Amino acid sequence: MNLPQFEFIQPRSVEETCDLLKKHGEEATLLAGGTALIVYLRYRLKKPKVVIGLKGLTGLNYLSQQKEGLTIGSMVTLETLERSPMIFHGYPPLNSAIQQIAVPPVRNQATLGGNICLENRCIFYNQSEFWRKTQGPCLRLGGGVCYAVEKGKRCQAVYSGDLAPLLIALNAKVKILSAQRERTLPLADFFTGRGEKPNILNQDELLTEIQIPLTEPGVGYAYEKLRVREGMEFPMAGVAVRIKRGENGTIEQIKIVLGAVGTAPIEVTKASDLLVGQKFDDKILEEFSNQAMEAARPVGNQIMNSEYRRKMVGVLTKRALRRAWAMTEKRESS
Amino acid sequence: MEKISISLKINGRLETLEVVPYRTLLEVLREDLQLTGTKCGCEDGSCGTCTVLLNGDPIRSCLLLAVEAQGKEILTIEGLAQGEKLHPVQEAFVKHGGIQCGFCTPGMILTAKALLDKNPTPTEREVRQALSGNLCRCTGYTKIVESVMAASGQEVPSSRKEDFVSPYSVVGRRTTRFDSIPKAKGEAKYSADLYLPGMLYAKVLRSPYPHAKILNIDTSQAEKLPGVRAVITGKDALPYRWGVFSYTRDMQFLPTDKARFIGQEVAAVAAISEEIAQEAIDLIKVEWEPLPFVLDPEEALGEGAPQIHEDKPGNVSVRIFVNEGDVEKALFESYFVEEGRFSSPEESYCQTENYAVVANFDSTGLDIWCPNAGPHMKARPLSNALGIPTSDVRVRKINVGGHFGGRSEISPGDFIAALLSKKTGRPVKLVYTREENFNCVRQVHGSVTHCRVGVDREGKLTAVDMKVIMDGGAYASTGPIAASVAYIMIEGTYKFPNFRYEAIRSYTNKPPRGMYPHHPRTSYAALELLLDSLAEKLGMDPLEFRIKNAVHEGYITPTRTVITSCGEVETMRLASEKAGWKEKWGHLPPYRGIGMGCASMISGFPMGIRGGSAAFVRFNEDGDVIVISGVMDDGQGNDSMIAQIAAEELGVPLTKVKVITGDTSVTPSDQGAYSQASTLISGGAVKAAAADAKEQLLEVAAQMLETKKEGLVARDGMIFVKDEPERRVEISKVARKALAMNRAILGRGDRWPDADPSREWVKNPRGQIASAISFGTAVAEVEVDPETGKVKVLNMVAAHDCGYPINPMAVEQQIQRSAVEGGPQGVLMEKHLWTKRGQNLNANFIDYWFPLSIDVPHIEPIIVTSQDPFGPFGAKEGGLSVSVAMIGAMANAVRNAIGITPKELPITPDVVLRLLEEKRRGFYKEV
Repeated sequence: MNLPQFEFIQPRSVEETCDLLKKHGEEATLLAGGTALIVYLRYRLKKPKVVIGLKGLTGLNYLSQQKEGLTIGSMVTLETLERSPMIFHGYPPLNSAIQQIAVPPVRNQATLGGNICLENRCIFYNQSEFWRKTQGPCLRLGGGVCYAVEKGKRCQAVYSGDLAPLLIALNAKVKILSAQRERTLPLADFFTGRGEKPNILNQDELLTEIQIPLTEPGVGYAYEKLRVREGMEFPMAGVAVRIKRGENGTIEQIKIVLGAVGTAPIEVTKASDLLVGQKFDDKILEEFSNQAMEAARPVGNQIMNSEYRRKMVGVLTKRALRRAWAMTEKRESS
Repeated sequence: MEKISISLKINGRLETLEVVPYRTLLEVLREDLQLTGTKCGCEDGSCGTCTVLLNGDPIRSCLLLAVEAQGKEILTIEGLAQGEKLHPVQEAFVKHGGIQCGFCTPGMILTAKALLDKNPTPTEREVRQALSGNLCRCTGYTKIVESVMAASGQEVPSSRKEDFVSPYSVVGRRTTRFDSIPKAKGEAKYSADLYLPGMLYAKVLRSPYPHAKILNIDTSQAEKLPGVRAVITGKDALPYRWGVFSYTRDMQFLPTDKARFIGQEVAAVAAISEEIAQEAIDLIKVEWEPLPFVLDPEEALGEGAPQIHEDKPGNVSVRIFVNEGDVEKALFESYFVEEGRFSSPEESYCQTENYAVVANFDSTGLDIWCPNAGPHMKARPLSNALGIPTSDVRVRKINVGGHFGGRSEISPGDFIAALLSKKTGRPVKLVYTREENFNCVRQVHGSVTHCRVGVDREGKLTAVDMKVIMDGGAYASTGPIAASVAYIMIEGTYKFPNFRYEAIRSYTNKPPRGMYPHHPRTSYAALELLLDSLAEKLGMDPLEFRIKNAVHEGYITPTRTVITSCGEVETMRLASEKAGWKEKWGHLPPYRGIGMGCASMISGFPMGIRGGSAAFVRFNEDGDVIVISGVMDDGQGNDSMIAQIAAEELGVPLTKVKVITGDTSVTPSDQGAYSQASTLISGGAVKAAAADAKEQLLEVAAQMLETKKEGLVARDGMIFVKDEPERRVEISKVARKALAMNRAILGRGDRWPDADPSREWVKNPRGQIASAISFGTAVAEVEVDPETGKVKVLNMVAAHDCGYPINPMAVEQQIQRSAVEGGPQGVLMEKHLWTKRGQNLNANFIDYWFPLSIDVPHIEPIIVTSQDPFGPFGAKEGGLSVSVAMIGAMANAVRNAIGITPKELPITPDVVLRLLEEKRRGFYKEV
């Protein structure tokens, strides 16, 4: 299946990119690694007049360790991150999360920015043009029906990025640039929760940088991914946690972020509010796990059924917490 | 659209190209530069066949715009070898059997090269991880991983293993298949790699309804589109209906009455480009009258269900009924009876090669290249459908990227390409997308099996009663065979004095289902799971229980097949020994399990006048041998197999033998690569032809050596007098002498299955079903995660009685791939889901759970011999019994780990978890 026709522009600088975005507006689409977009084009899920290729933006291909933490250009490939000693030694759970994305050759192409800006997925939407025509248009394609949720009134396509939940747990920020302005905001605020338009990027904006703060002493974090095979798959559920050990082995801070069980990464708010100051034990794990399951919003739009995915959110939450807690112990002793 | 000029280095050469921006690097490599070693298997980045190295790193060329490769260095498979000299990774793949159909090979080799460049001595796990983005359906990954390990200088089992002790010079020896070098170099051509002068591109209009009347098709707008050369509908075709059997002719390649599944071919276009063809497809207006439809096979058989075929009341496509002995009485009198209902949805073949056809129809007739398992089986229906003599249809030899039963039949695509070529007078290429390959060629049945098995106090099986409903989809396909295989395999595996089997293959409004090694998977799982339940009740070790009920040489099955050679018990003993059965059974920690399954497999069943094979052997002036056979090589190594047989029989080195196969204008009739008959029947025909040629050689040699031919021996390229090896002459000289004497050596031979020709699938399921039966035992060990339900496969061992291995390496390849087909694919992962309208929800590799290299452990193959009296050099078939045996082994391993009998396949994590929860809550009682 050929790609649809489009004009291709490869800007040399971020400024030029912003100008192009401003000029072409809705008609333009950004092409980063291409591992998602090319498939969207092939399936005619996007029909841009202009494709702006970002691979020439060497200015967005950096990874540096600052006093405040790590700053990463949005065009860094996942493979570069995976091989970076800064991440391997400084953020081992992040390295492990990256290794769970797609398969190695795809990580050679896919970028961090692209992974964060993934379009939401739905098994009734991510199909060929013939398939979708045969079904009839869904909510996301301007039809009146949601095929995933009976009588559903809003698009519930799943946010399927693996990294955003963990980065949100780590309080990462994103830098966004347009011809007019630059803004930096918490990654947690980057997502809209709308299936058809998952992030807040305006048509003229470009995600340029991801900032990951240093993790304080006593902090542990982890990401757990649910999939059937040990590769290739988008998450059926993902759980990222960050936990800070207080004195006397109590929980000082906790953050649990769920991926792939809703239209955006879901922060389990109760967890951070209620259980601080308690001891880390099986009972508390059970509570966190129940809260996470309650917060999850899986619907029937993946091959794996939603009931199972919800249950697994509970299991993965416990696992992630145990790993993160073990990391706080290791860090304290070291 | 304006073209952009780009410069890039491809395989060390600087290329400057003009490309439109919306072309991928893959399209530029394949179409503009004709570097067709880079394959296209999915177009969504999941299969890995389009892998190239970009500045040394493996990437998906289907996901990169060519314009983005500006200034980069690209290495494709064609650039890896230095002329004749293979790269060490290529060499290792060739030597260690890492290559079967070859379609994944270029991507595999390049990915492996990139890995070794960065990590010269990887661990097995690192290799599996690095290759996890390259799908392979033919090897089970074991030999691929071993090839990479060997290329890194590490010792691997296949290099350690002593060669099979063979009394022969060529046969029985671990042999490099001669298709492997062209495949390793990316030279091997597959149908989609062909570009003929003036070639047009075709696209197909498909039904958007699961069941709808075609009221009218208006093609006028499409015909007017510039660049369109022809549009066809069912009206352009003869009133021909295809059916494998005379009583199953139910399919028009382009229907005129109604469409019966979503995706069915309705019209087609040939145009000067694929884009224009697609544009024209969108201009065809079809007036439909949607009809009620049915998707569930049991509902389809119920009262009031929509009729899919007017002449098939009740939507019964095929009913098979076998009833030998008195099953009810035997079950009543049994000491224990176990029963259960088992269900599974559909599977797919997932050949890595997408279906592709090139047809060239001119005044001399039709030339056609397409994936096939038997060219003669395609030529006949094509000639009938086109109304031309069979001799005017030439199905040409081409590499095939996987078969597994799925390339058995004629495909509507073959006919469509041929008719478009006839209409336009130009070559036409039709390449299916991955989605089309999932839905619009044959696929694997969904099924429900209800099974009862009885046993006496001593542990002897008394009876089996099996009732199967198979979801056949919209057409009959090979239905009568498909609905029979389960009972044939089962009656050949265990001794059942009383045997009843009923299978109803129902029509539904889904894509038609065809042949598969282990279908329906529920039947084998049902039997083997119930056997373990019975063993448990009897307090017997499942291994001893199986040995007690195993068949033996001379045994006659309930439907009257005599078993002429049998190594079944030996496969049971060897597989269990290797897997540590005695130490592990009953001694594993919680949630660890070990299981066993056994199977028989028939080779060469009666197929009427198409059931036999014939072959010729001739000599070139330089003494080289040409073998001509209709056998087809779909990646399993049949070409090399017949060459080995001919070399052995003639007494010449293997390097002296070339083969011409699978070309209907050149090669004599052959039954095709079905029913595991290639070695037995096609190989047998080649052996006979070689023996005939040898007789002729010996006659000439006798004159030259002034002796009697009876005292002569041919071996290692020489003919010599027995006991006087110094009195000898080179075979090449004999062949030349024969030419000079006007007695050119021309051997001919044929072979027919030694089966009962009166046996018929539906009307007379009695009599010798096949010439030979092979046997296999598989053992699997798993670990279940009780919280997630995920099953990790720790170990797979499989032993197969192949009669005698022509090429032990090829037999191991077949055993290993079959193990993955039965186990991880068949029991743990693969299934299709459908929308309420009958749309396939996961016709892609991201959502269809095709196991990756990282999901599969090393598979230990064990070759058992039994010297079949009918088979060439005692050989039967290469390893397919394992596909069936591993179903039982894997299902029983899971059962053993969780203490519950799973009743649905595949046993995905959610299923396991549900079973564990039911057990915990006490809903489930395992008596």
